[in-house]
This record gives sequence, structure tokens and C-alpha cells, in this order.
Amino acid sequence: MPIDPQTLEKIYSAKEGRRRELARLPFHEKIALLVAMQKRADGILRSTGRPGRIVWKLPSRS
Amino acid sequence: MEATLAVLNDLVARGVIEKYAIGGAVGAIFWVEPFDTVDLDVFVFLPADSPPLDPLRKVISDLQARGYSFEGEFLLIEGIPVQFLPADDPKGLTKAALEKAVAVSYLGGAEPIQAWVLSPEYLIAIALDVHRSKDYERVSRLLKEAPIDRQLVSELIERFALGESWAVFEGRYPEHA
Repeated sequence: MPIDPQTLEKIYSAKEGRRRELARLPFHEKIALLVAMQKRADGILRSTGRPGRIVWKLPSRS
Repeated sequence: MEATLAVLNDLVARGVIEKYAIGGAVGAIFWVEPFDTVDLDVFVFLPADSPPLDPLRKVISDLQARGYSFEGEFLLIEGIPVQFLPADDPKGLTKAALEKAVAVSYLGGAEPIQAWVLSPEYLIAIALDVHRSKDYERVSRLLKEAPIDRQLVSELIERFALGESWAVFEGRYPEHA
């Protein structure tokens, strides 16, 4: 069943809002999210038998 | 990250570099939604007596003497791969960008640490100058999510002859045209 344009508009608008919210985070929280993405990508690579990738090492508070 | 920034600040304090600012993906991340990247690009002004054919030699030997080593093309400083980029391109774009860098406070540990980040307008200009696909994507993100002075972006496009790249960008991202 196709999604109606209004629902699509709501979904896109919510995604846009979330992006703006993330853009407003403090720098250190963004860096923590970046490292979380690096860890996830590294885990996916290793789980498929490929070499891992660089993951930044931050102290636990960063 | 704060330990890496402390090392960079120490390089400035000891005169190994004159000034630095974070650019590239991490510079953009300061202004937009975070996204994945590998390294920390650091634009630097070097002292006048730096060897012209190997301008980063003193920076690299100073850091190696402190126990930091290369991992591939990056210097690994306190767990973060760093790429130093002398701000001396022939156009003068990176020099102007570093001169206009913004002082920011990074609060990763107990105390905030000062660092410098390129402004979103100069990040856009540098991305247009490099003009890979991921650079155009970065321009789009910055225009959507960062506080942008559009007049300044236009001036930088004109001043640094980036009109051709801007036209390519507008073709790929017509919503910004």
C-alpha cells in the first residue's frame, strides 16, 4: 500500500528535526557519537571476516 | 579527544606551530549532525623557519620524540589519527580560513579545553575547492544545518574562484540553488 504524501511529509519533517537536534549537541557529545559509529562499523567489518578499521580511543567521559 | 587537543595546544605554546584549527569532517561535525570519519584534519600555521620542502618535519619529529608514531598516513596522538595540513595553498584559501577560525571550548574531561575550528563558510569553500563527492555532500549538510552567512559564502566563491565547483554542487543539490 502506498504511503500518503502527508505521512511522508511528517516522516521527513521528523527526520529533519532530529538532524537539527543532533547538530545542536555539544562538541564532545558529537565526538562520542562519532566514536560509537566507528565502533559499530568496526564490529560489522570484523563480524564478516574483514579487517577492522580505526576506532578512536577516548577516555570514558569523552 | 581532550588529550589530543592538549597536545595541539602545547605545540602552539612551545612555538612548534603558530596556530591550528580543526577542519575536514571533524570541523564540519562541530557545526552539523555527527557522521563517521577516520581522522582529525588539523590546519596549521608553521614558523617562518620551517623547511620549505618538508614543512612538517619539525612538528613530526617533535611528536615522535614524545612517543607518538605514524599509523599509515596519520600521526596517532592520544588515540586519535591526526593529519596535519600546512595552511599554505597557492590560492590562500586555507590561510584565510585559519585566520578566521573560531575559538571553541571542548568539555570532554573535568575542565574545558580551548580549541579552534574552521568556520562553516570556510569549510564550505574548502570543500568546494577539493570537490570530491563527499565534499559536495558536506557542503549540503553545512548549508542545511549550520549557522551560515550566505553572503560570505558567495564572497568566498568569488574571491577564490570556486564558481565552477559551485555550479556542479547546484546541479547535484538543486534544493540549494
